[in-house]
Amino acid sequence: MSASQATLLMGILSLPALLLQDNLLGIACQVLYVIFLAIGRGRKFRILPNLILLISVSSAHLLQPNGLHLVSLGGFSVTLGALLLGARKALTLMGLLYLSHYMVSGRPEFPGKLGKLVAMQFYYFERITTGWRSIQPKRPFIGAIDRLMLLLEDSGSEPASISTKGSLRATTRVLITNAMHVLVLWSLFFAGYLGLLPAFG
Amino acid sequence: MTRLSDRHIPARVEFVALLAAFALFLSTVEYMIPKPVPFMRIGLANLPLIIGLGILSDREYFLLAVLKVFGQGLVTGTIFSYIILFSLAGTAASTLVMYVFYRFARRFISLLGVSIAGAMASNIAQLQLSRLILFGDAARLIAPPFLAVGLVTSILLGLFAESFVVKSQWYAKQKENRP
Repeated sequence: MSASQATLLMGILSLPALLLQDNLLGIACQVLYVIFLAIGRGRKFRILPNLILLISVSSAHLLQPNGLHLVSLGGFSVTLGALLLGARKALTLMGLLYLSHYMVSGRPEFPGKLGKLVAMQFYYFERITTGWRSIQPKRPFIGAIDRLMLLLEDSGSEPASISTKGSLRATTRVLITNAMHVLVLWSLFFAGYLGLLPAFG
Repeated sequence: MTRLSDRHIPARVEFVALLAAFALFLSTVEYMIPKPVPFMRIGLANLPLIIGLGILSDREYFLLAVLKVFGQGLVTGTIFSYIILFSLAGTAASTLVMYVFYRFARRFISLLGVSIAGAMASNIAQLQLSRLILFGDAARLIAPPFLAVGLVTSILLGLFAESFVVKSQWYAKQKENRP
């Protein structure tokens, strides 16, 4: 098994732990954990988009009052149940997003014909980005794109190559680390499920 | 290192992979363009899908749509998240609508119209999905600005696509080689 496949497998095994989490504190801890995992693999974390997601999904749920009435804002009732449900949903989505970032950080190779096509797509993507740097002038944009596509076509008759080198094999350390991540995420799930973590609302 | 041809992938499929890579490239270009509102998307990555209508066979066209979604999911790392569902729903709806409009009503509709129809289909599909996954009934509140932005950006993209097919030598060459 390659290192990237091990990471992918770790993510697949951990997905249910996030999806099935019912405890708000539990999901918050899981999200923090996967955010750190993604950052550790060089992914950027930006607060604003996550904050927008959290606020927008939570506020959308307020339209359907549920549970303890907290406050009224101009005839609009803010309820605890709706607020918590929205927050939990937003956190789950954030968790899935960063887990996904982590899962593909090693650029896993996918099997079958689609996998080969995606590999070819990335091969051309690299050629396009490299070719784009040599295109001058870049204005007008249409002319520049046209020259780029013609350039790619002209060089297409040259021996085109894509890397078929497999990814690095997963070392014992990589396997243990990924197993530990699965364990942590599932432990947080069970901590929430068994009531070991405080429940809100 | 292996030659592409060694992988037994036909040249036409290789051409589809090139267009899909072009879509990826355009989505990275779009990423660098500053946007006035966070949810605004120009949809530059849809350009290969619009111009592909005239130079790809039906099968190649739908393969391009699949590769576009899959590739973008991998590049952005969202392939195993809810975002891929939005991308899939939007692309599936727009691809199908643009295909139907272009194939069956080409005499009555320009690429600008095709682009607008595709964008509206994509936005409606994504709004429906956001109702199910994210916002519930509150999705209707974001619908007007979402559709308005989609309309404006699809007009811009449609005009760009029309200009591209007229001016591009590469496109003219591909049109001649179309199977």
